[in-house]
Amino acid sequence: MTNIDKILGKIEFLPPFPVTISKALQMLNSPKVSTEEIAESIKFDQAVASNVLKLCNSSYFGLRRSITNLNEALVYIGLSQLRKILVLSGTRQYFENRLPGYEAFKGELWRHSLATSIIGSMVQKKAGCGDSDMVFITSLLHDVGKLVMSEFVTDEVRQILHLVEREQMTFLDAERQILGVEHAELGSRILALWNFSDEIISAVRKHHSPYDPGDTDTDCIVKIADSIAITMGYETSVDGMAYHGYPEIIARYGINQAAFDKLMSDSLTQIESIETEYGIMKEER
Amino acid sequence: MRVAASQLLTVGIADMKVSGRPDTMLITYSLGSCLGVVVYDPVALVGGMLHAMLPEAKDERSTPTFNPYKYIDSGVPLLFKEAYRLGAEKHRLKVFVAGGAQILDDSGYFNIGKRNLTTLRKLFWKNGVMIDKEHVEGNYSRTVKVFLGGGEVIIKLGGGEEILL
Repeated sequence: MTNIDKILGKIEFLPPFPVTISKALQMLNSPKVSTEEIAESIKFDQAVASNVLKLCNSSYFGLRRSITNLNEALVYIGLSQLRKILVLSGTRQYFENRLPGYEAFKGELWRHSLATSIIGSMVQKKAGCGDSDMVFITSLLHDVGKLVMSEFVTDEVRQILHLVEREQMTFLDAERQILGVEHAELGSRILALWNFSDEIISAVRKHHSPYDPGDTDTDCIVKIADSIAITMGYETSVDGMAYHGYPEIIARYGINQAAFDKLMSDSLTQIESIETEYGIMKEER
Repeated sequence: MRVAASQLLTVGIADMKVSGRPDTMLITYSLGSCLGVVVYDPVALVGGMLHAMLPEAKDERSTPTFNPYKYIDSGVPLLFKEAYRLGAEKHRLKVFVAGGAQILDDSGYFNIGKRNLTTLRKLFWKNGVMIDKEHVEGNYSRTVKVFLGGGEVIIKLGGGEEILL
């Protein structure tokens, strides 16, 4: 068995994406679905139902009053926001353990993922291009490959960092060189296994690839949202800032330096609010 | 590296903490292109840290939700002022700087680390402040700890080694 097979084989050991949430997400694809039907399908899964309620009531998703009835909350929040909330509640469990291949402190990857999805949503609004759900969900999931890569990176971290420092290689290229596969490719395979759409899978696979004028808006926005999150300090410590930025994409959306700075400044408040209300892991810092 | 402290003050992004309690450790995580600016008076045992994200506040100053700690040019003066208020004196102050890193990209937009440093150096130069030690630039993620008992400033680089500045 080659090293690559060994790493790919580990994907199957990840806990499956929660069934209640996959089902609800699938129902949302039908144009005729009602909020009652969705509420009905998730209310018996207490963990999911309570997470969904909590997120509906968070200031980021914007309910002005506290609602304890699930059905009522879903009516207020609307189906598009609900899709984001469902993916958020389904994803959190994967980030509960520290990932020593990437993190110096537990929760770094979760904070990075939350920050990227919030920045992605802001860029999407500002650019007026792309699909808001798609951008939010892809940004949130773009680094899932790290969940599986972590243990292999841990074993070879010296060699990987050596390449990063000596050759000014990105961490991703160094992963590929040493381990034969990297976290973006691996992430796309995980999402295929979880039945996410081709557009999401492809954007995750490409999230560190050089800009290509044929990139979709989702591809582009996830790429820069990731770089901006890293620049702001929402990165995982081990790979840190050893990635490329995408000035071409920023130019494609006509964002100037002042607007770029403002985007960082404005997203901070939103990131902090969702982090406080939903994101904080039990810290071991 | 272990130095003892019984009180921990976490400095968030766009945040500042100053204390005169020698049993305190200040800590800030993942600086990225942000700057961690530390001041310490070894006689008064007063120290503080600012974690600022962007160089200049400009028009933001007039907004109702303005957070001065988000910017170098509005945050740094407050850091010094607060240290003075707690008994620090300018001629004794030690100044340390960490962060200002950037991703592997030299073009303008992501150059925020360098812009932060330039703004800070200009501000210090105008006010006759010397930086004692710094650990800046590169592509590292940095976590900074400051011990107010002895004034040690320790930097954790990425996931690895800790360096005494």
